[in-house]
Amino acid sequence: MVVTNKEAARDPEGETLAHELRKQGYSYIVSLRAGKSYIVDIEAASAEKAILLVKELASRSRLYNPVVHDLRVLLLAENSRGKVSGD
Amino acid sequence: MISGCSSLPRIAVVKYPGTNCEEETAFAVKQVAGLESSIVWHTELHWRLWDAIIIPGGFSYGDYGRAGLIASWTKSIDEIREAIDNGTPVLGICNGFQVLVEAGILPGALLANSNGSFIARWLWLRIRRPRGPWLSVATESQLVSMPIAHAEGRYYVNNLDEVRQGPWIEYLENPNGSIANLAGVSSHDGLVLGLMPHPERAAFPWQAPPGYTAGGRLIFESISQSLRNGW
Repeated sequence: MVVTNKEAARDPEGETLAHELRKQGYSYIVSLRAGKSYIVDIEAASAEKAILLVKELASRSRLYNPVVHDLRVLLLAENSRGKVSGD
Repeated sequence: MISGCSSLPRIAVVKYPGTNCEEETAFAVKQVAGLESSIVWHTELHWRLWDAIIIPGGFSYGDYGRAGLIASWTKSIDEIREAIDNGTPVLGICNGFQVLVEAGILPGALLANSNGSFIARWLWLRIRRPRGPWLSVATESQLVSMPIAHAEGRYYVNNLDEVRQGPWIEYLENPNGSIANLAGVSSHDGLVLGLMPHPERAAFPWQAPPGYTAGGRLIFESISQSLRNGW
């Protein structure tokens, strides 16, 4: 889960980091967003189901607050645990 | 009596946006060390003007990124590096310690406290292998008390032997999960000292609650002695 502030809610941390990095000479930075990420191992029948479960988890638990946050759920790995064969 | 230039050693207390312990730090330098001290905005720091430099506590740049990160990018750090190369003592207190490790001037990193909380309390510390300008009047294994107030004070370092080549300060009762109970670490010669506890909040007896003493005086008395008589 990647949780960032919505555009309207501003992002002082990201804005400050972008401003200070540009001052350091990283002039190619257009914008930088700060946020929180949560990496969750879950059990689910499929990747699609896992993404749905995590979105539901984020919304119900308020780890992500829809009033002020944007939420992105990215699949990092499948079968990360309990896999018998393969890697 | 001719007034004007004072010959007292001068200590710069560096201020970044979000620094908030500069007044009491400069006050302790004046009152306890008996030295001159000024609060210096970080862009105005020129190391040649000062006999020692202190980075005080607070929340520089709002702790954005990580505590001390953005301050470590400023040109004040170039000044501080040059100061150290030329033998000027440098002290980092709390956020100042975080700035020094983020800049790579002191080894290691300061992580979130292991209990997940901001901790504000007095505690006892042991000074180990004291040497250098900030601990010149300390004795081996001397116990002092000071308060801590931080959320990211869990010191971590890959090579403990490296850190133990210089003087260090350890917690008697580890509050935050720091490796080897480390509350403060130094350069090998003790010229640079960083510590999480606040000596400026333990500089006068009236600051200490029952059961504790003003252990921060040790730091200010040491730098006073060192800048007047060497170390």
